Parts: sequence; C-alpha cells; structure tokens
Amino acid sequence: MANVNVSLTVNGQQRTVSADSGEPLLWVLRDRLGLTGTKYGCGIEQCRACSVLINGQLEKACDVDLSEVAGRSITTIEGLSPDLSNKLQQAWITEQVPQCGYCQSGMLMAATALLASTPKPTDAQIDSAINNICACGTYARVRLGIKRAAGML
Amino acid sequence: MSAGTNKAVSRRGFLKSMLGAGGALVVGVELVPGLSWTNAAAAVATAGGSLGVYVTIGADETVTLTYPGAEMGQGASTGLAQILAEELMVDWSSVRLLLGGYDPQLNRPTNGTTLGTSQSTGGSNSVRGYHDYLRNVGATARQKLIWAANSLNPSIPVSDLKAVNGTVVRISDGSLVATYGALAATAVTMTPNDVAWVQPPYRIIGQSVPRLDLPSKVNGSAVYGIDIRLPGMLYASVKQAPKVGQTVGTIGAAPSGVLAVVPVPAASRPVVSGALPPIGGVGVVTNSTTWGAIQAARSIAVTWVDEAYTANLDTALMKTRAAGLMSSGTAVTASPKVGDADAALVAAPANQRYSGTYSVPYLAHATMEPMNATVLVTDASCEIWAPTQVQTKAAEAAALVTGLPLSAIKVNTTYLGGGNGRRLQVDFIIQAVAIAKAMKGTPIKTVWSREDDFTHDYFRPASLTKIDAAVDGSGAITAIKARVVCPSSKYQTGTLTSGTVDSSAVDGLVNALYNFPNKTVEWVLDTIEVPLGSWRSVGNSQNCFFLESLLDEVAIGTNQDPIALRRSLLNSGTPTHLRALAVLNALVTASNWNTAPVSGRARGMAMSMSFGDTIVGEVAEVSGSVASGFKVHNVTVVIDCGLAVNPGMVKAQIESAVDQGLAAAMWQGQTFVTGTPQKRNFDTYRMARLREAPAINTVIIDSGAKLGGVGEPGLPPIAPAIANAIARLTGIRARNLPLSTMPVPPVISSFTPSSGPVGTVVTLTGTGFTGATAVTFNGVAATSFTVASATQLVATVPAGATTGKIAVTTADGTGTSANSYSVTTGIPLPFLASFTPASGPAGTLVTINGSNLTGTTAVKFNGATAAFTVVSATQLTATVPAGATTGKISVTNPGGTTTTTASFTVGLNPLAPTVSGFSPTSGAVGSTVTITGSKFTGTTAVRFNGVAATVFTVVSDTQVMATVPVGATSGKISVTNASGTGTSSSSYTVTVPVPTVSSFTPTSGPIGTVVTINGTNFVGVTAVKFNGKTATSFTVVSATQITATVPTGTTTGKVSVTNSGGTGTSSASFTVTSGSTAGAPTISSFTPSSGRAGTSVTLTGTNFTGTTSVKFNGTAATFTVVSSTKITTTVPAGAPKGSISVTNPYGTATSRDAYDTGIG
Repeated sequence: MANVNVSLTVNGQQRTVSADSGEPLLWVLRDRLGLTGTKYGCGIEQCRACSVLINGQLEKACDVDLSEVAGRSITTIEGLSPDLSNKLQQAWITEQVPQCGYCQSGMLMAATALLASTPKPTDAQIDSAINNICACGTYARVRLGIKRAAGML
Repeated sequence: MSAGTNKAVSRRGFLKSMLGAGGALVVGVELVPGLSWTNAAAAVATAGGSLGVYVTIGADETVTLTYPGAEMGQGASTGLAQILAEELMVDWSSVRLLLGGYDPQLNRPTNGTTLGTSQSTGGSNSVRGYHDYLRNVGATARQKLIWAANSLNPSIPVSDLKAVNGTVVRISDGSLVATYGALAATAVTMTPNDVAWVQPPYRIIGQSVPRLDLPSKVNGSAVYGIDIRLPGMLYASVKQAPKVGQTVGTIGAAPSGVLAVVPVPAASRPVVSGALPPIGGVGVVTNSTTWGAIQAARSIAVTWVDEAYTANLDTALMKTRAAGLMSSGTAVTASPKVGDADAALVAAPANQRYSGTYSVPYLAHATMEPMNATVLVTDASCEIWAPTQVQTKAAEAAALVTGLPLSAIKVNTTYLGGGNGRRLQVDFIIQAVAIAKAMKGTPIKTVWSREDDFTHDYFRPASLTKIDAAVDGSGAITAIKARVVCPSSKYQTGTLTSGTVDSSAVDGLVNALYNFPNKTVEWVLDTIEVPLGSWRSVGNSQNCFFLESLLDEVAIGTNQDPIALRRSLLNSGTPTHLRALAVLNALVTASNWNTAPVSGRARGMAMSMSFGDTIVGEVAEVSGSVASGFKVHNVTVVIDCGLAVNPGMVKAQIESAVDQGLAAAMWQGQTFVTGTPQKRNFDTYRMARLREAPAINTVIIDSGAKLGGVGEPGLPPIAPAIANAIARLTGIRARNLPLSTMPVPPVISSFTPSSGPVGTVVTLTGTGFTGATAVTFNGVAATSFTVASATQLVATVPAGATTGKIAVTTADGTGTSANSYSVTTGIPLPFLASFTPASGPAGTLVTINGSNLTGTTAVKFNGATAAFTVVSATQLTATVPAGATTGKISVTNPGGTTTTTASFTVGLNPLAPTVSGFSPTSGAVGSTVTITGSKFTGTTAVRFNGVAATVFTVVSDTQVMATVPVGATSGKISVTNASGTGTSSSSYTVTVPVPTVSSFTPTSGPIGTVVTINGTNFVGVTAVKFNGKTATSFTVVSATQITATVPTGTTTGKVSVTNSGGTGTSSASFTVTSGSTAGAPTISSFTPSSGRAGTSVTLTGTNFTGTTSVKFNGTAATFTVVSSTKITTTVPAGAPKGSISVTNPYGTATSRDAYDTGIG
C-alpha cells in the first residue's frame, strides 16, 4: 500500500496525516496524532475500545483505514469535553462507573451515539446499543450512567 | 513522524485540575508521560515540601500521596489515599494522587508496620496490607506539621495545637496558626514523640468518596502503559511463537522499514530468579506506529523449535492424563488433616455417601490492555514505564537483562488496563528491556498483539477434583475427602519442595470455613508444562466451585435447605463462624431466600472465606435451559471484609468479581491442540456483554473484624451459586466448567396421542433422542421404544403406567415433557408407522406397518373405505378402492381411529421413471440420444414418438442412451419401467437425410418404363420425378433402391428423389424414347415367396398375355397364363434362389424380390 496525505478533522481541528493508506484510524489517532484516549483492545472489531464518531456515526477505529477518513470529521473521547462538562462524563463520575477504565473511552462514545439517536433509551435499547467489552464488570453502572445522563434517574 | 512530539514533557502540566460533576472541584494527578515518578514528586516538593516518599505538600495546599502499588481498577489508590488523608486531617478535595514506581520504601509491609522485601499488588492485599503502615506515616506527618507550628511559634505549646483541614489551629480558641504549605519545609526536620492514630468516628475512612482516578478515565487523559509517549520514541512489537513452549530456530530477513530485529527471551515461561528464559521471540523495531510494528512482526519469517513437552500441551491428551492421575497418581496430603475421612467414608452406608468429580479449564487473564512496556536503556541506566503489578520484580529482571545494578533501574508504574494477576509476570518487560537494550539511547515502546496476549498467557491452572462426603442419618456431614489433580506454578519455577503441597492447589478446600469432623485434602501434582499464573482469587476460583457444589449435592440428596446445611457446619462458635452466620442471615433477607422466585427461575447459593478472612455469601437467580443457555438475572452478595474503607468501591469490586466470575463460569476456557492455544482473541474467548450482566445487590456487613481483602473474595462463590441454581432449575448437576460445555439433554417438545390405554404407541417429537437409554411414563419405564431419529422416538405405554409426564433419558441427561400423558382404559389405538407403496392407482395393494392392528375394523383412503386383510398385529394390507382420492390413510379399531401423517397419492406411481430432458434434441434415425431423468434403473422400453428403440443402454438411474429407431418420427420420448412410463415434455425431432441418386436402370425407355433407381437415404420418400415430372407410381424397395414408372408426359432429363429432408438428383439423364412399353410384361408380386421344386407359384403383373417363358433365376419353368395379369407356374427342379422372369415378345420382366427355392 502506498503512503498518502490525508486531511481530516479531529475534534474540530483540521489535521493532515501522511501515512500508509491502510493504516487503521485507531493507530493514526494514537501514534500519529497523540490522542491516546482511543484504545487498542483486539484489532478485530470485537471489544469496541476503539469506538469513535465519524461524521456523527459510531465506528470502530481499528477497522477504518486512513484512506477512508479523508475529509471526514472524527470525534474521540478527548473531544467529548476538555473539562468534564459533558453530561455523560458527569454521570460517569456520579455513578463511579470506571474501574481500570481502559474500555471506558469506547463505552462513552457508544453511549454518546446512543443518546444522540435515542435520548431516553429503554433497558432493551441500552442492551442492544452497548456491545463494548468491559472485563472489570462495570456494566450495571454503565447502564446507570446512561440513564443518569439521559435524565432518567 | 509526529510520534513523541505531541505531548512535550511539561512539569507545569503535571497538575491537572478538572471541574467535575456538580461543580465540585475534582482533581486528579497522574504521572505525566515522560516524567519519572520521582521527578514528579520533586516537582511538587520544590513548591512545598516532602514528608517522605508518601506525602508531598504543595505550596497551593494540595497534598499529594504517592501510591505504592498498581492501580488496575480495584481502586486501592483511592483507598490508601483515604487512609493517609484521614490521619493527615486534610480535606478530601485537597488530595492528589501520584502513581509511584520502584522504590524499596514503597514495599508492601509484611506485618502491618514493617516494610517487606518487595513491591507487588496482588492477593487483595493493598488496602489491608498498607493500612497500618500508612496510618503511621499519616499520623507521623500530621504530628510533624503540628510540631513545626510549635517550632515556628514557640509560645504555643504542642498541647494547644491540632490539625484541621490542612491547617494547624489552636485548640483553645480555634485560631489559625499556619497552613500545611507554610509548615511543610520545617516539618521535615521534626521528630515528634507523640504520634497516635486518629480515633473514630472517621471523616474519610468508611466514606464512599469519589475515586481519584476517575476524572482522567472519562476524558481519555489517563495514561496506561500503552499510552506512554516519549521524545524520540520508536515503536516495537514481538514476533511470538505460535505454540507454547517453542524457541527461535532461524530468523528471516527483516521487512523494509524495520530498524532492528532483536532475539528476545521467550514469553509465558517461568522466570526463575537469576535466570532468563531461552530465546523465544523476535523483537521488531520500526519507525512506523504500533500497527506498523505489529504488521512487521507478523511478516518476518521465523522458524520455531518445539520443546520436548510442546506436543503434550493438548487438551484431549491432558484430560486423559489428569484422569489417570486421579485414579492412580501419588498424592500428598495437605495440612491440616482432621480425623480420618477415609475410614468414615468406608464406614458410611452407600446411601449416606456423596461423590462428585469436578473440573475447571485453563483460564486466560484477558486484560483489556495487551501486554506492553516502554523502556529507555543507556550505558548507565534503564528506565521503564510499564503497567506492572510487580515493580520490584520488574526492576530485578531489567537488571538481569541489562547487566546494570539495581540502583540504575527506574520503574514507573502507569495505570493498568486490568491486571487480574497477569501483570504479576515480567515476561513482557524482559522482552521490552531486551529490545531497548539493542537500541540504546532511544526509548522503545513494545506492544503485543491481542493474539499474542492470548497465546502467551500464564493460565489459571485446570483442575480435576473429586470430593467424597459421608453424612449421618440426620444428614449432617461427618467426613469430607477432596482429591485434587492440577499442575503447579511453584513446580514450574522450581520453588516447590518435593513432598509438599502447592497451597494454591488446595486453597479454599484445606482452609474452608466449615467445621468437618473428618477432613482430608490431598493433591496429585500434574507436571504438565502449560504456563501457569495467578488468576483473580487463585485457588479459590476453582476450589470454592468444587466444595460448594458438593455441599449443594448433599443438601439436595438429604433434602436440606442449603443455607441451613451451611449454618449447621458453622456451629463451633468462633468469631469467624459467628461472622459467617451473620453473612448467611443477611443473605436470606437480602435475597428473599424464603420467597420462591418467579416461575421459570431458580436460586442457588454459595459462600467462601478468603484473602484475610473476608467472608462472602452469594445467591444467583437463574433461568434458561442447557439447550437454550442460561441467564443470570440477579445476584445478591453479602460481604464482611471487616471494615469497608470505601463502601462504594467495595460494591464496585463485588460487581466486578461477579461479572468476571460469571463470564468464566459460563463460557471461558483456553484449549490447546498440540501446543497451540485455540482461542486467540475475543471472537472465540467469550467475554460477558452488558446485556448478560446481572443486577447485583451488595450488602456490606461492618463487623469490626480486622481488614480483609476486597478485590478477589467476591469471585469464588459466583460459579457454584450459578451451578447450584441450575441444579435446582433443571435437575442437572454441572460438574464441569464452563457451563456452556454442559451436554444437552433430550428435549420433548410434543407427543401424540396425548392419551390412551396401556399398549398405545406414542410418538415423541423433540431433540437429542439419539442413544436414548430409557423412556418413562410417569416414572414407569417403557419396555418397548424405538429411536426413529434424533428428533423422533416412539414408545409403547407400559403396563402399570399412570397418568403423568413422559421422560427420555440419554447419556446427556433426562428430558421431561411439559404436559402429562393421560393413561385411559380400553383398547389401544392402532399405531401406524409406515405404508408402502406411497402411491398407485385404484386397485393397488398397500401394506401398512404399525402396532395394535389386530382388531382393525376399517381402513380408509382419504375417507374411501377399502378392503383389507390383517396380516399380524403389526401389519395389514389394503386395496386402494375405486374412486379413492389422494389423502391420508386411516385405520380404525374399537379403541378409535388413527390417521397417517403422510398422504397416499392415488395415480402417480413415484417409482415410475420421469424424463426431464434429452440431448441432442434432434437427429436422424440411428443417432444416439442421451436421456436424463429419474428411476431409469430397470427400464424396459424407450420410445421415440411411440416407436420403440431397439437399442438402449441404462447408464445410471438418471441416464439412458438410446438409438433412434428406424421408423421413428418426431415426437416425445418416453421411458418405461415396471412401475410406469415417464414422457418428455418436449419433442425429439427425427431429421431425415437428403436422398442421393447414384444410378438408375435402364437409362432410357419410353413412357411407362419401370426404372430401378439406386442411391441412398431413400427413407420417407414423397416423390420421384423424371425431368421434373412426378412419377405416379413408385415403390421404395429399400433405403438404397426405388422402382418407379416413367409417367406420361415425361421428357428426357434427370431423375430426382424427394423426402422431407430434401431432394437428390441424378447426374445423368434418363432418355425418353418413342414408342411404347405396352405389351412388355411387368411382375408386381408373386406368392408364395418360397418353396421347393414343384411348388405352385402365382405371379401377378401386367401384359402376361402372350408370355413365352417363365424362368426361376434363369431356369425355365412350366406355366399357365390365367389372365393378362395372372400366371401360375411350378418351381422347376434345380433352380437356385433368385428372381422370377416373364418374357413375351415385347420384352422381359424380372421380379424385384427373390424367390427362395431352398437352393443357393
């Protein structure tokens, strides 16, 4: 594969990356743009620790090539809010959701996408929307955090 | 490349303040990438003051606490900060956290107040392990600050000073003397002699204060090992062996873009103090990203060499091996042994003995953050940034790899994306240091792929354990004997003393909280070389499952409530047992134990004591089935860990342990095939998802006992609690984990009929019937049943059966019908198993097989009454009646009527051939046609538009080849066998070849001359023409000969012959001469056509009047002219077979056919 120059918008900032066109967005974000909040867990779209928003859509950054994001707008965990003012971040603190925290960037991005489409999700909607793997067992609190952010608690 | 330049090292960025929920100031302080932890502490101390390695006070009045261990999600960093903050008398909002690194002053205390020899995080021993020591550190720091206030204000005696919210105030009037920030520098030199712990009630200990590490974990700023970025850093990965127990053979050429290829010590090998594993991996350094490094590592060609044991690491072989050790391996008895369990078991009658053999698989740690470390090696130093649970071991390993003294090694602890025991190992750090050593002066971040993380784990050992119990007449357990077969990490690292027991093999059994009058726990070492390590709750993770399952089997067998059974085992009155009783009592209340769960669910319970006498009881509520899988709806947990320093975090740890233990119990287990781990990523190693996580209700009992562990004790009881619930839900005891491997018992989904007397044959529909060993009707075994398929079984209602459910038993278990079968009185219905043939016209004799046919009174075909004959109780024959239509067959006896499920088809015989096609679709007579269809075996005829082929070959049941017969015309092809005829839907076109005319004779003559035309393809001739004039009379003698009469009006010209294929024309012309052929005879026929000399033959023809001679093939014969068209003649002696000729004065006629005289 060939080296390409790709311009994209990350958390509102215009960035240009020169790299292999097949390099996954995950590694472009982490190792080239220094946005290490997006995590590597499996590389095969299973764990969803690398979840980001691309033009508002939830995507797994391990499976999106650099060449596919030219001109796109990416939102990562760092883009939720710099000061913890995001309602999901606040709910996560209130409910003390994270433990090791490694999966929580992806969890928060999935929750962001869920609330964008479904402002008051039911338990069943949460069940089907949140497929991220958490090895610590924060699931019950993730559910609470989403409901709190949705103003349902 | 932008790596390493985005986050410049910045001490100003060290303190990160963030406004948290509700507007409260939530502050986290973390290691900043690139900053050594000691430098970070110094940065704070420069502004304020350091009161030792643990406490640093900033000029801004913040108090930074150095966390000595690994923060892997368990929250111990916050817990320890609470202890320090309590003693320091500071407000929680002013507390900051610094993740520490390798420093002997941060070693974990051994007995509460004395530092041990190593820094490590494990054994649920952080908060309880550091508690006393940090209380002393905090209390000392507080008194130093008070004494500093006195030192700076000598007029105020120490006795009038106290610490309040980060300040020192006068007790007498409450006035402020100084803030900590102003006192810190002086405090360092103070040596207070009045250090005493803060007394309850506590301000911070026991409070669910928010965790210090969470703000950074919700905005992506928390730095895990994999997130380290240093100036000039390069990325590396490791090519690991595909199998466990392999070393590097040869290393291929480096792919382009690779800066270094570095042989490194093998991962997942026991690391014995002072020695490195053999070379078992290849480090690959790139100037790309981590992704580029992993890709490069995958692409480099390496050959691998097996160890002698590699092929033994095979799940099937290992199971056999463990079973052999269970039956005949040499065991070592663990201490303490109580009484004589063997004797008590022998003495107990069989119905008072219980026995179960249980097993658990190897488990992967599956931490979300794959193994990684970042290392900078120089000639004089080595600095490591790593997610490690063992800073001391990491430093020692780095010293070994680099040859540098321990004093030259720095280890910085990052956050851990899960630990779970995996990061008690330093294999990945050894590899990272080895790679960095080859790249001196350049920081190298080495990251494993997820696949390598799963392949090269130190697995939780598999264990095969048999437990025997004896009970007395009242159901009280009198003896327990456990025999454990499992491998040992101590054996693998050479630290197991021969003849002793590896405590992790028997933990939770030998030290179970119950009081058994006789107890023996023995262990058989399996020396298999699967790499082993500690996994959350270690030996308790499997041994609690074994013991608590066996106790449940006893409870069910003796009809005791499982909680009552456990209460009876706790009756010795010791403090531990009183606490356990309290846990059980709280569990009964919190789980609504005495109220039945909703329909379709069942509860199971289990308890254990582990990690510093923390007692946990759990109740799981479960629904589902083996076939459909199980769902754990909710889990009730009661924990007594002495004192909950942070109740919110205790609950979080219980939730964590339950979810993780649930996933392991339900689905997880690593398997091996000749050394290759089979599950290498999350697609095959199943983790719990949110929808599978139960609701968890945790009750904390503050018993006032000494601090117990929290991180691990919640895990052991969940697997047996679920298994015990399943036993109550299904009647099936799950003795082997994971539960997803439970064999699926048969399922009866329906049966028909639903009632009938003894002797009725009942058809069961369901799944898993293959190999059925028993079918019962309300508990009475059927003496006759037949498994028709995995999904259908027929059984005869046995004598003695009563109304009730039907059950089918196989080796995989028993399935019971949801509904009851009603046993009635009377004559059992006919049972119809099959009939043959399946179709036929009226009059067909049909054989019906089944049961209870003796008393048959009627047989009907779709309602039409048929004549029948009862052959036997299991067979009758019936004739398809005239007027019957396609439909089911019914058989009636005095008990009722049974109807077949299949229909009899009137008319079509399914055994008759079908013709689906043929090729080619046209051809001449004599062509070969390939016909396709079905049921061609036994073909008796192939017809072309009704003309039977004289030559055909049955190639297969679906193919016949036939030759187009003479006389065939275009039309459909049919194939016939004994059962009927199949006809093609399309027509075969018989093509006719164009005639050719090669010669004719005579070549000239007048009108009326009979000309013999020779040529080919004289088939289907429709016209013969002389120079275009159609002959009114012609005869096709053969395919090669025609006789034709030259018609009136003919002129000289060519002779043509026409059929449907075309027209053939002679090259020569027939010359029409003048005159007439009138008078010359013609012979059109004669009869008979054969006969010896003396036979009278009648000739028919024309112009016989005036005949001068009749000859048989040249021999003159006697003759009589009967009329101008008839002659009778006698066959002359000696004439050979041949034509007959008649001669008159105008000419000679010769017959076209030969007369057979029997001569020649």
